Amino acid sequence: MITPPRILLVEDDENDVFFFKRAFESAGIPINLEVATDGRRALAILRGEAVYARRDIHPMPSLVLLDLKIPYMPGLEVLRQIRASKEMAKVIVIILTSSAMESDLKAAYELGANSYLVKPSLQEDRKELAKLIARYWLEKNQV
Amino acid sequence: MNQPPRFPGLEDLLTKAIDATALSIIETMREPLLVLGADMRVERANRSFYAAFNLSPENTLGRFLHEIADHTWDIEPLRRLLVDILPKNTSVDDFELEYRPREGKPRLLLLNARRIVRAGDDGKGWILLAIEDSTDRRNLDVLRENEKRYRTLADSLPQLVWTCLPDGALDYTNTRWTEYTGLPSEALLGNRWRDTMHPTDRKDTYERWIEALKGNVTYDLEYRLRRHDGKYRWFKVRAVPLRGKDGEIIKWFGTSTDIDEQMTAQHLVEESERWLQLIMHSVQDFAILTLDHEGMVSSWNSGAEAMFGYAEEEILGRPAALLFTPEDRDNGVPNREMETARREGASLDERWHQRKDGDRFFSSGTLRVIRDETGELRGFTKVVRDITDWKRQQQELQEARDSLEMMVEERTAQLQDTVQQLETFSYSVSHDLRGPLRAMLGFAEVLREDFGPELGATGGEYLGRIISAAHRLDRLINDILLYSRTARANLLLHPVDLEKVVADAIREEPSFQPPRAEVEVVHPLPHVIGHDASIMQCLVNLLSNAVKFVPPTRLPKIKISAEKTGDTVRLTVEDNGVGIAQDDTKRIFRLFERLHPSENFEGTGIGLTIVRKAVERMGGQVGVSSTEGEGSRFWIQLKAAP
Repeated sequence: MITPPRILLVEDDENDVFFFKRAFESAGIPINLEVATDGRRALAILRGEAVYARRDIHPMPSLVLLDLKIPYMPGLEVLRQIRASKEMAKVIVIILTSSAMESDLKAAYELGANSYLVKPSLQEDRKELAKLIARYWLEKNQV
Repeated sequence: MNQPPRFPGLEDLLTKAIDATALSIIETMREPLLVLGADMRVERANRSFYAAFNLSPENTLGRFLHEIADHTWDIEPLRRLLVDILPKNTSVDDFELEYRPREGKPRLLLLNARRIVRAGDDGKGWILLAIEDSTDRRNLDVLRENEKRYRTLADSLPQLVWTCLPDGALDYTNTRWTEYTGLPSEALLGNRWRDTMHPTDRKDTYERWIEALKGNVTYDLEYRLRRHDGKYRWFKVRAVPLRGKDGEIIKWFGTSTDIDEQMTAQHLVEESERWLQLIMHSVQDFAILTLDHEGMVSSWNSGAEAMFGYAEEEILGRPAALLFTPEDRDNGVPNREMETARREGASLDERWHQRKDGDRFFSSGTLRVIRDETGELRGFTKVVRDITDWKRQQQELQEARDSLEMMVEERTAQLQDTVQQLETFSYSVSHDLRGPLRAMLGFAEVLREDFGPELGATGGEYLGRIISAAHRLDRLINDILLYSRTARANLLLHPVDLEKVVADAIREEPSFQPPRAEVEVVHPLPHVIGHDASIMQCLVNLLSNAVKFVPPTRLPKIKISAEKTGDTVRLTVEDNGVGIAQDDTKRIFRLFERLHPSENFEGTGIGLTIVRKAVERMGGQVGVSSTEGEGSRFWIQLKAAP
């Protein structure tokens, strides 16, 4: 049996979490989703700290979907720390945010984001995006 | 015959040769006479001869002519003439001879000689030599000649020449006088000439002239004399006295020289000098001074006095270095300035100067060399202007400028801050508004998906309206963000291949492609100077409109072409849509303007505004021409790539 890919969704908006899960479900893509509602928790999960120390329960994610406007620690800082550490440096980070503000876009790529996507508004588009992520980043992309 | 017969032989001879009458004639002749024999011995001499030459018969008679009077008659030309008389029977007529006695003045003699013969003589004959002393007569002639010569000379002189008696009465005028005055000599002689003197000069001149006539002062006067045409001209009049044995003045010899032109020229020079002085001293805003070649002040105008505080008599002859500040003096600035002027002709500078009272002022000055025609350095002129006020104004201006610049910087910072805030605001709008909107839209969709059948037809329609409205709001927010980004973004302009951008734009939306639309591209499309993403955005927006505003029954047909004119390219997107009324062609490029009700055509009213803003940011223009009901031609004009 193939283990579904481990995805960390860093998102504080419950609705978006709901739509995201639903998009993968309706696209028929099985995923092992972990949700972090703030930046610190996201880093804790990635580093395997505290309650996330047990990798058998909280395995290292292979893909991070990162919102930029999140509590405690901004998404860009999370990204910076990911790229600064040896262990996490190779994890795929896709920025998934509400707006494509130029300064954020530029900063994100400079800090080493793999991709930058604007959250789609329509369910159809979300489903399409879920498929694209799965096909490109989880299947085709060679790390 | 009262002459005693001294030589009996001669007496005999005479008796034979000359009768008594002839002898008495000879004796009574006032002119000296000699009778010479063929051998040039003196046979006979009359009394007048002895008297005239201070001789006596003893040292004369029987002697050779050239022996007598201590050989003073030994005159070669005379002898040659006399020798020929007897043999050739010639004569000597008015032979002029200068006779030089041993003592006394030379005398001018006029000689006449003839051969005289008496019948019965041996036929040789004698020579009768008549001597006329013409010395005195000659002197008179010379005098006359001289006078004539002097008058000619006087007439040839350019001056008016005259003589007058001690009382001033004119007794001679040369022809210049009569020519000049146009009056005959008689109208000038005596005191009549005074009428030709300028009335203004008469009184003053008359007194000095009287003094001069007395010989007390030099006869050296200047006055005006009337010319024949009535004009007065200046004359310089000089005279020298001829004095008698006792020193008394007998006569005046004088000349009057026309000096009118000199006087006029001199007058002009004096006038211009006076004028120059007047100008120099009337200039108050500038200090004008001259220095000699060693840098000593040689002239000083009142402007200089006002500016530096030194009176003319205080500073003349003193070094101009006094006007400099002690620091400048110590640093050798005054000498350096002169050196520069000497080398380059002038030295221009702005510096602090020091007044006599120690106050300082800021000045702008020029030191310039004065050279004469030969290039020899004669000194310097220095012109100084007090620009302290000007400098203070400059300083104030500079301060105002600086503070203005600071203000501008502050304002710019504030503006940048505001822009930053706006950016944050738009980020908030996009992020915070879109979140809830996305939830509304999302859950409405979920509701339809999961509970659609249970809602019934009416419930489904309501839900559809919620979804549609939310979706439109979402796009509106999106477009506003896009517009603000277009307006703000730094566009780096570079050559853009329109072929590629147009192809990309058509590929962007399925609605631009068959079967939903037909797009014809007229190749080739040129390169332009622009920003590729912005051109792409414009094309997408224009194509969106082209396919959108078409009657439902009509297949959108679009033609994309480009035309290069000079250094600009006009890219045209032509559609077969509903077209735009002439009045509306301006309005459509404004923000939120919509021509059509949203029920008929979807849209946010921002698309063309974004196109206009983007094209403007690329330095281009945008426009439209349209025929209502048939279609529109939208164009964007950009700079052609070289």
